[in-house]
Amino acid sequence: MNAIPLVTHHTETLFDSEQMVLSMGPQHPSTHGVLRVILKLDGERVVDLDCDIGYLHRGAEKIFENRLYPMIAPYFDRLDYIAAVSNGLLYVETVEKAMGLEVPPRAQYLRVILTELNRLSSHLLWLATHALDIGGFTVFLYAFREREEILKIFENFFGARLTCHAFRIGGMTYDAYPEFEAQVRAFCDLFPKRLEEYETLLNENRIWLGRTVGIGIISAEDAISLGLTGAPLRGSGVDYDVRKTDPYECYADLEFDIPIGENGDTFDRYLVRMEEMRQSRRIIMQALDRLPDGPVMGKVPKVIRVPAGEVYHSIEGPKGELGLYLVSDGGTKPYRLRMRPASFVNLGALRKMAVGSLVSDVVAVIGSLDIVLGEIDR
Amino acid sequence: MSDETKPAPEGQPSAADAEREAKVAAAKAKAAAAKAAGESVAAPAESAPAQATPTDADKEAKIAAAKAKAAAAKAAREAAGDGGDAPKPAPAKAPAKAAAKAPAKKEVAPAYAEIKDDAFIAALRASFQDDIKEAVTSNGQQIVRVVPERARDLLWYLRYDAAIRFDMLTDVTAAHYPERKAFEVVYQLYSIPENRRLRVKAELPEDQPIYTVSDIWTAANWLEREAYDMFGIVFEGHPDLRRILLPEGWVGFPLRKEYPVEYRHNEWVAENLNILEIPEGADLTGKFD
Repeated sequence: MNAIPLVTHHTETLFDSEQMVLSMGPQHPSTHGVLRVILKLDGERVVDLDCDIGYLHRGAEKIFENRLYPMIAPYFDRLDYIAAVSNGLLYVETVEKAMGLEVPPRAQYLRVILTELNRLSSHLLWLATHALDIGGFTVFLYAFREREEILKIFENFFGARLTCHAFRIGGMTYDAYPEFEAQVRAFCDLFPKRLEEYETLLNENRIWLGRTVGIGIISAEDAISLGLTGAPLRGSGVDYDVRKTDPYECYADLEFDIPIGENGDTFDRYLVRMEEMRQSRRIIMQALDRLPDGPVMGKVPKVIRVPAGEVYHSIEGPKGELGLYLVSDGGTKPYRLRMRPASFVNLGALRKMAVGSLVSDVVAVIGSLDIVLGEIDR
Repeated sequence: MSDETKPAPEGQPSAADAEREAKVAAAKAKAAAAKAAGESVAAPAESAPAQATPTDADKEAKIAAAKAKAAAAKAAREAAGDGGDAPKPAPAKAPAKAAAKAPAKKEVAPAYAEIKDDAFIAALRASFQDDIKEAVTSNGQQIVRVVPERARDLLWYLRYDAAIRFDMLTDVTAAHYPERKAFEVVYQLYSIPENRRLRVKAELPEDQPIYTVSDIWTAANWLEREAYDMFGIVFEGHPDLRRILLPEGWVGFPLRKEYPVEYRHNEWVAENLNILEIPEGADLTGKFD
């Protein structure tokens, strides 16, 4: 067992009780993968906790250094397998930025549509599992129903549901299939009603409120210091979204709002993500309306060779800021390719958020952080 | 594409790397000479002298041959106007980083350009004098190089005292440069109010520790642990410096350049995963080429 520093909260309780160490995971369903949380308990209360991660470590960054640039892209699908499109976008954009490549406008719009669809599917999976963790089985079934529609679109587009390998350096391999626009529009027409269904089930549900309101509170100051990004940061009232602060693709041309919370608790993070889904739909609708004609693949040299230098590029993934730091020596393989995983940094906040709460709340907080272990462990 | 008939590495998978490299080099040189135009296609398998176990003399002869051929191929490529990088046999990185090696096709933009007219950077240089080695941009992004002993002071200053407060530490990572026997520890900073990014880099000799910043930004706690896990960089004063992704007791630091790509620590596996026998002929050394 790793050494957990002694905390003496138990002396504040009425009866001095013995502390117990409980290992939650790595096969526990509520840890969303292979996360092991070592809890130090005083009765039901968490005195201290430690995360044990790395069960899915595949040495991705080491592999990157030994692969040609085009060969690296599929690996990114397997990092955050819930949001493979976003991950792929991060990689191709970073290489394009380092090489100074132009992406044709049609490809940019298609990328935005697909990435936002992926954000929806990721958020739906989050909602489903988060609700399931804290007792809302119906929502789980409903959310998976809608997620299925998105995955069908992905399957038609890329031939894969999860590991999409959607984009290529310089654009996209495939243009949209003929029914793509109609199918996406049909989904967008349907989706707001479905969102209302979820909210009917949750927003005034006493159990849901009891399990989320005031749980896992994190202040804005702490959230920034912890490096939180995505909904966990915005739930604490900090207005930070890479799509606004440093727009990539065609986000600068599109209108959307960044929802922010107030209290920084699990319920606010839930509200933020629900509103983000509405905004994603809005982005998709606008992008579809403006979708230009033209090629989807820009001019790319036969051999991808990134000029010497370095670049850091980040995008707003469904889970937070995904960053990629590329150091090139001018060759055909990266000298160093470092991914800044949003989930990894966000999970680092778990201790701050969950210590002092009950064991069952740890589950709610993990759910509201929306982590994916494939990305944390890399 | 390359042919699939490449013979499986027979018999002794543990043949020394140097041998493999020599073979690869020889094969490469032949292919290059054949092509002459600089198209990098994998060598035909037959041409690779992969048979038997070569003696040392054999090996040296091959290396010499490979070198000569590679040089010829390089000359041919350069004549064809392709520039081309050093014909290094192993997939390891060319030692000379950055340097003026960029292909001579387009106008050669320098990888790093000095920052000249930036009031904030100028003020920073004024307060830290020679401790800031240089302030440069790459791809339009600002980088400040600082001596490692003062990295913490600089970061503290940027967080609390500077004209632009960088309130968020986005990332801490490193890159290994074995030829300089050093790491570059990289801090990615972001200022939410000013929407501005800054990268602070400190070149740290391999055997030296660097001060932690985990008390300045809590985010650094896990990020520094990862840098320690992957590179073996010791962050002095870190409250909880132990491995994070790799298991306790792991030997070596995978993201150092000398750490092999495909490698199995058989003793560790036997002890922890209870796999006591490694199958005959299992290829644990295979490298991408």
